[in-house]
Amino acid sequence: MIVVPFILMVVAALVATIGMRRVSLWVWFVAFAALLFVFGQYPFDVLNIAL
Amino acid sequence: MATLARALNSLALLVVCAVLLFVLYWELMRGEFPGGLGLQQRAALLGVGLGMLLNVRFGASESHYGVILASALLGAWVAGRQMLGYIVIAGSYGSAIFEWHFYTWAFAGFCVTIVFATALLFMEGQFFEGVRDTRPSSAAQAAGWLFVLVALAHAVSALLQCGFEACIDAPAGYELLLK
Repeated sequence: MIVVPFILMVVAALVATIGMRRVSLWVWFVAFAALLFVFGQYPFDVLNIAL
Repeated sequence: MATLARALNSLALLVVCAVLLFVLYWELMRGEFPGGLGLQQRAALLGVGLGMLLNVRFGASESHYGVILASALLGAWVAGRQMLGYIVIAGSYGSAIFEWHFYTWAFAGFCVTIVFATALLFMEGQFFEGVRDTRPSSAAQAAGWLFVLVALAHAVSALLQCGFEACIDAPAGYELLLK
């Protein structure tokens, strides 16, 4: 699943470079949401112990 | 003011590209592959670089700095999660460079990025011009294409390592090529 945010980041950078600013921001937003989702899949038990 | 902010963003974008190229070099030459959390930190760093690219390409905007800050905050969160995980088990992952592991450097780097972006937000003069789709300078265009190529290299690396599935924590190599 982690590959999805990577691909979206490449698309966002590419469209920004060719001049499509708003599209780039929207693609980044989706990539960021995907990255949050992937991070949310990780167990947090260890963090509870550390804190 | 706008010129200074754009120059600082260009410089920071080159630093981000250099860091991403260095970790790719380390992966290919030293055979140390990142785990799932390491890949997430790389993706967050790509987000930071994208925000800087937008500032360089279109001029400064609050939303561009929002991209930088949100990505850096998430990156610091992921790196902090990885650091705490290894503190709990009293272990570590990968090589140490100047006595710090990659995730520790990542945490420090994301914190510096947050301070950097916050400091740049105080340069209010940069926002007066607004965003414009003017033809960028050749240097800005080159930095943009360099970032696209670096991002593409990392996407290919992540694809070869994990495919479309969840990544394992301590990979031995590119899983798709090992099959």
